[in-house]
Amino acid sequence: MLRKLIFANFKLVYRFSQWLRQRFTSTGMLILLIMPVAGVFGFDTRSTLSFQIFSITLILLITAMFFSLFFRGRFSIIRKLPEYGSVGIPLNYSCIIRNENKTAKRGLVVIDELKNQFPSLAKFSKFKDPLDKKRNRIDRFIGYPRLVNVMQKLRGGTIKPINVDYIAEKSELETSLQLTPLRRGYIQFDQTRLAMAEPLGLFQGQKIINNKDRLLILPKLYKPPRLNLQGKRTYHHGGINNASTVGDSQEFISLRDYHPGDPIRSIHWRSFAKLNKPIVKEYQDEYFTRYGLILDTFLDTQAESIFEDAVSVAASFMTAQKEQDALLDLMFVGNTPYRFTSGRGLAGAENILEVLACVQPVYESNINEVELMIRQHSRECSAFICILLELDESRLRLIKTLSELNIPIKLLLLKESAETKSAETENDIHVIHHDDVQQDLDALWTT
Amino acid sequence: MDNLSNNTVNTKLSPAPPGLILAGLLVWGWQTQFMIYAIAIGLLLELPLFIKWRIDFSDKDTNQLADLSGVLFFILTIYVFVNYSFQGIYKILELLPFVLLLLMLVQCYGIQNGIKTSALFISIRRLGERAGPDILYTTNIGMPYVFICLISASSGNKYSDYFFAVCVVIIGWLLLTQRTKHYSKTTWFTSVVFVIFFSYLTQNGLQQIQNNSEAFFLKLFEQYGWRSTDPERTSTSIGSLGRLKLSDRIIFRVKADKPSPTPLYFRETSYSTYEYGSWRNPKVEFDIIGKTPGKNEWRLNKNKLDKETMDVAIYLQDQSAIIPVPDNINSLAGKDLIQLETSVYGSTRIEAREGWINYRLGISDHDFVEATPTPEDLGIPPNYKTDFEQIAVKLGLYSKSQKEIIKSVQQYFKDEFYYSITQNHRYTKGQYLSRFLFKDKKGHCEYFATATALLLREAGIPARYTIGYSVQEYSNWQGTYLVRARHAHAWLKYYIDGEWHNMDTTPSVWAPMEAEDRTILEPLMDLFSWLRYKTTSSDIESDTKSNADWMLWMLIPLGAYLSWRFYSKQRVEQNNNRDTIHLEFDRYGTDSPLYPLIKQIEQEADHRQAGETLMAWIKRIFPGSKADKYYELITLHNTYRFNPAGNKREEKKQISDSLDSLA
Repeated sequence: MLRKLIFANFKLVYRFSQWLRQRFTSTGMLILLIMPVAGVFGFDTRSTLSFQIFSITLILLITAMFFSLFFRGRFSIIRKLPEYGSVGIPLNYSCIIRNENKTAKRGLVVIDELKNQFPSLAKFSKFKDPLDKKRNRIDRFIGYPRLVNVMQKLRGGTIKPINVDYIAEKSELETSLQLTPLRRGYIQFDQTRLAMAEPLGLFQGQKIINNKDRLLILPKLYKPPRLNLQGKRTYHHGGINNASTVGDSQEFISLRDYHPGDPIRSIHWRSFAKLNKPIVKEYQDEYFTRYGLILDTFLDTQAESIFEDAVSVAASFMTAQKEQDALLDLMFVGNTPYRFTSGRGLAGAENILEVLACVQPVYESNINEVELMIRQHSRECSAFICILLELDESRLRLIKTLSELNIPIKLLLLKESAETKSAETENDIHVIHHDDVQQDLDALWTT
Repeated sequence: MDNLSNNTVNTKLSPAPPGLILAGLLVWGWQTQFMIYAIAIGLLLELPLFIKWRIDFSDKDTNQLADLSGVLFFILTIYVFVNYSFQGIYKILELLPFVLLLLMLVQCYGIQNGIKTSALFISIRRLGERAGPDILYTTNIGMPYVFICLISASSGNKYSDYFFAVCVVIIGWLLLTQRTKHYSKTTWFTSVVFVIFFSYLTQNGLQQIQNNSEAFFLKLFEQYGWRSTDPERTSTSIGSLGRLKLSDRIIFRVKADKPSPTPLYFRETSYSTYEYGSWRNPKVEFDIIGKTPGKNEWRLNKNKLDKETMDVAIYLQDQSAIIPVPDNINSLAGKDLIQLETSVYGSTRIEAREGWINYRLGISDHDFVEATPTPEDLGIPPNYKTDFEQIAVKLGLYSKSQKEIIKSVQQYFKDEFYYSITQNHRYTKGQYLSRFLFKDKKGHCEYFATATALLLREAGIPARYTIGYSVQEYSNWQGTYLVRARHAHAWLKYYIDGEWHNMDTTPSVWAPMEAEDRTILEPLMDLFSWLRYKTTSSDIESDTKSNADWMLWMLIPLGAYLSWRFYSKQRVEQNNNRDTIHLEFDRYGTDSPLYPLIKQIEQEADHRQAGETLMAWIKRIFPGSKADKYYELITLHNTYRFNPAGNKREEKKQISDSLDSLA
């Protein structure tokens, strides 16, 4: 109940703090902080003269707010976004600002805003902030710093405001902004603000322009090791095309007599007409290597950062330069089981990254679906790479199932802590630590 | 406040314009009598504008100095609180520029030209670099310091209009540097004039609001006033609803030769006339008691010797106050006392310095003689006359002797009444006591004392209502009696056989019952009170100075620590341009014996060109085989100069040997 009450007030506090920070300049903020201090000490006007400082600061702020009302005008903004961005790598995009007023404007600040998305209480409760360990008890209990981090993560990035010194009347100006994406997935652009400080330089008048847009941010990539999995090539009926969707292989060998059961589409109609008996086209049987990459998406007590690491590791494997003949299946369970194949001219790296950019953790563990999916595809796959988030009983069962398939398997476990469990060594699991992902991946190369 | 990630526009605070910090400090000095310090600090903080060297404070150093400032502030708060109680808040305010001086020095003399937020907030420090640039950044605290100087200055509370003008100038100066450049100066100036005009009106309005609200509340409080020791009048809580609650604050301390088995009564004064919940006296005249020649002592009866003595420590808020004394007081001595007066109603008034004072009470066998009864001491308010007649008839007081009357009255209150500090029923004005006597039969000491006094009067015995304290809580730890506000008590004096006698009909459970309401903070508050008493009170007889100075001595090691930290730091040169800082490190190997030789060759032959290696230079100026003999030397020098792993002493020796052989 208390938590609900506190959380309900968070929105107000957050919005108010956003408003303060968006509207006041640094000097304005200083005056705003000084005002209540002077007010408290000047409460008794006979004891100190602090009430005079209170009066000056109060009137200063009121005046500044009043003058800020005079900032008006008509502007339009067009945002030109690139196709993709990558987590943690700043990307530049441009904005075309059009001043539709009859006068030139000076001293503008362009603030491009990402959409604020307030989490639900349930989602907020599940969010684990690694910084919480270093916070004091009150901050941890109240949870406001955590909310700020959640909000920042949901917003997905930071955009540096830029100054526009001058924009002539009835003219356009193209300016470049920099976005640093903080998470993968779609980032929603909300609105663009044009701000201008009033004469005293304490408060900003703002013009808000609705300017919705979205940009896909791809997962962070590491340099993956070349894995030497001892898998044999397997027969893929129908060849490469059928390996992914439908359609036959293109490798034609010969013509032969029709046997019952041959598909009608294989009939070579010309020969049929010529010989007056059904002749069918025969194709080359396809044998090639096909790896399955299983991504564990079931998040329970682990931090979300672990899941992000797992997605990044999976993306790194999926986009790395593969053996020429190999296909790579990405398998994970979201609201339904998913399997995406790449390699040999099928889906390219961008398509797989797009998929991985949108993978979300699942909070209700249903590892059986993964097991079922593996069993379904075990015959086609030469080897499996399995990226795990935890090593609990259900996952150990999954490992057992995999080992019973007699297919080479590489198990990777993402974790935060450095301690080693006996189950990890027993099952030959390669641990990748949150703080040293690249280093641990490199170690995988050597092992 | 570089919160870029939160869709915000704030940038970091810019530094205070040159001279503004000095100006702020001068205002502070002018208002608070710290002018010399203000000038010194101001010059110290503005000096870096004219000097080049800077100190390379590491984050750790800054954190330590920030912590030291915090500790200083804490010590200051304790010291001021102990000495001045809650009024000390203005004292703390006055001293703030001193407290923040360390951080300002770090900012002004450090190369970072600001203070990291991690130094100011331990919570950010704990997060470290992971806190992110939103909350972990370097900020300039020059402008906040100027404002703090102004607020500190305001505690001086002098020259109201001038102070307003000076504040306007300083804040205007600050704003001028922050002015939005795309507006004209006229627009800015108009805005400032607008601000000055309305803020002047506002500050006048605030004063007016306080005056009006104070007048309103004073009127309200006069109506429902609090207890005060006025020798001419006292209001009682008779008739008040709710629970009587007196605080745990220690009013005075009594150190007796031996603890008494029964509570001691320390009276403040007696009253003769009762009406509508108040006791009062006719105009009270005080008689000045003569001082014993050669001593700071006053004797009420010069012929009697003291039987025993008690040391009393009491906190005086004014220089003149009625003090609680036992009935048998004989003398009063103490260096803090200036004058002693007594009244016919048993009040003892002293003149002394404010704060905690000590004095020694001399006690004799006989009580101090109060004035003989007057007709007022037999007066009963007309509205209660019939009530007391009824009780007197019931107890048969009219036919009893005076001593029997005393006995019956005491027994009557003992048998039929009980003690209560809660009143739940609303009384009709003028019938407060009737309800107590006939219906509720419960009340606190004021009910008992008033009713008893009036009943005795009805029976023909002169009686006076007396207020004071019951001294009963002995603190083994402090070795004194502690007398708290809740020990305030009321009883009565009756006059028979030519003497005044004390009588207390309040059931003895009153003290434990009131003690039940004490707060859990009582031990803490007692500790503060004790600290305050110990640090501010002086000895009764000797003229030794206050012990408070020991606190100041604590600042010496802190000052020494600061000086050591400050001067032991490596100094670095800084360009006039504060943004680009060139550090000059004492690099290893700069003492190579080859350098004098290089200097010598440069003077004799040609200077080395920029970027020219020693080898190339030697080759250029000594063509042919002459250069060969230098090659080994230069190799040795380079090894000594740039190889971190080598044995430096050995390498240096080799260079010297090689130079010798070359010579």
